[in-house]
Amino acid sequence: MLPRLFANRRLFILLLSVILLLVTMGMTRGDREQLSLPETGVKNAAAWVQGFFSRPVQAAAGWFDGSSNQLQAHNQQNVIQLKAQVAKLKQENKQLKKTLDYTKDQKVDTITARVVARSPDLWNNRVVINQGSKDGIRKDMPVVTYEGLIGRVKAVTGHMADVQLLTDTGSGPGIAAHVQTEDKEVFGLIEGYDTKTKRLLMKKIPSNAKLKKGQLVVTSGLSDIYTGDLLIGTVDKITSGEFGVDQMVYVKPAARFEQLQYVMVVRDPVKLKLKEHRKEIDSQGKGGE
Amino acid sequence: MPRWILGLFLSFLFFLEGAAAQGVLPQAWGSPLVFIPQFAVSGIILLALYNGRYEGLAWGFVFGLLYDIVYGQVIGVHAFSTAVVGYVAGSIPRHIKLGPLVALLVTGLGQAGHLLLTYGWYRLFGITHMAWNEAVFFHVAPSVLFNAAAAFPVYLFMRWLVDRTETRRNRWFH
Repeated sequence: MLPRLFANRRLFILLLSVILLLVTMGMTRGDREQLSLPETGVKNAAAWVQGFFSRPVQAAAGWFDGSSNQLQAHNQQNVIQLKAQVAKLKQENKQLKKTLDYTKDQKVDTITARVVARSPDLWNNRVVINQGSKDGIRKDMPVVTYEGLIGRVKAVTGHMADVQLLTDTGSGPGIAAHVQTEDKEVFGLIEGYDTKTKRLLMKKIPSNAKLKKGQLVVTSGLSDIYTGDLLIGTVDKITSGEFGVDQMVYVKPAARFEQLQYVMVVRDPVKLKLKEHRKEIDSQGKGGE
Repeated sequence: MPRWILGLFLSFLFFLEGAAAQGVLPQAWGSPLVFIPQFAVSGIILLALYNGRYEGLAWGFVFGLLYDIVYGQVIGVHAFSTAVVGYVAGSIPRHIKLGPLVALLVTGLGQAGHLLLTYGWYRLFGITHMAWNEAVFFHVAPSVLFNAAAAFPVYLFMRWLVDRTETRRNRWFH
């Protein structure tokens, strides 16, 4: 039996590679605290190259956004080129100004970064940004645009970071969130995203809470990783939950997930301390046993 | 054909799909249909048609692994899928006369296989929870059409490369 299996070399190699695939997948899936050295090197190098590719395209996209109406009148190459530059600068300026206002309002430390790449398949929604651990970014930090929360840092290397967007269907841990009603804050968990209606799903809301369309949904300060009061979106549709004892809310995200150019990573000293605290307790627990 | 030109060309396609194509494709502007650019996979399929299954396997593995590390969430899915697709494409008998139409048809089939294979692995491991119907109609079907069309310039480049460098050998392509 066995020699015959070995005789069919192709089948044998296929089986072996499937086993190998399962092993590497098992090892690398899920939340990893740190990436291995070769991975970090490849990612950094790729991000560097991607920077060259993404800049002109984003510029073109910005130009397309800004000034397509006045285009027909002038077809001189120079004028168009200058216009493109102006439009891009205007847009950049606008975004950065908004960013500044946002930073002032929120009073949390943020690190502004540029998006250099987006995962080409949308099975998992990730973008790559051009700031990394050397710039103070750590894993699990929330990421926002001036419009609202867009996701969290999933992996970090020296000069770049992967951001997992809220639209990722392979949901990570849920996000603790509040709906702000007139008199109190209603607690719930954001778990998953409905790609058809483009709404986030907020679950496990107590059934006695009275919610209305248009109320704001923000992150809860009790969350392990999210800073409190980051805007997520507004209540869109209220339905009963899976088991009928709770409510589920479709949340319309405040931030756009398309055409991301500049994002901000939120650095909250309290959450960083909390993480260290957890780590310490974990190691103490292991030492004590 | 010289390896370094191939490597450079495939790398160019690889970075094009991640960094450049993302700002331009319809989903970047909010379209529900998702066009997944897989230019490097098209390149590998066409390359395998010219150079045989072992080159398809090797290049597929290298660029699949690169994809996994740079974009993927787990390592191995694309390395496996792209290598398999490259190998299968390279195993297609050579005596079939491969004009542009047949080459693009094979690319489309290969792309479909590749997309379904990666979706299958991701679904199996719970990395995506997208339903089958949605994945096929909104992701796979548009992507196959898009990639088959986008493979035409890749095909022209490959053929130009082969015509230029392999005049001594028998030509399988006309």
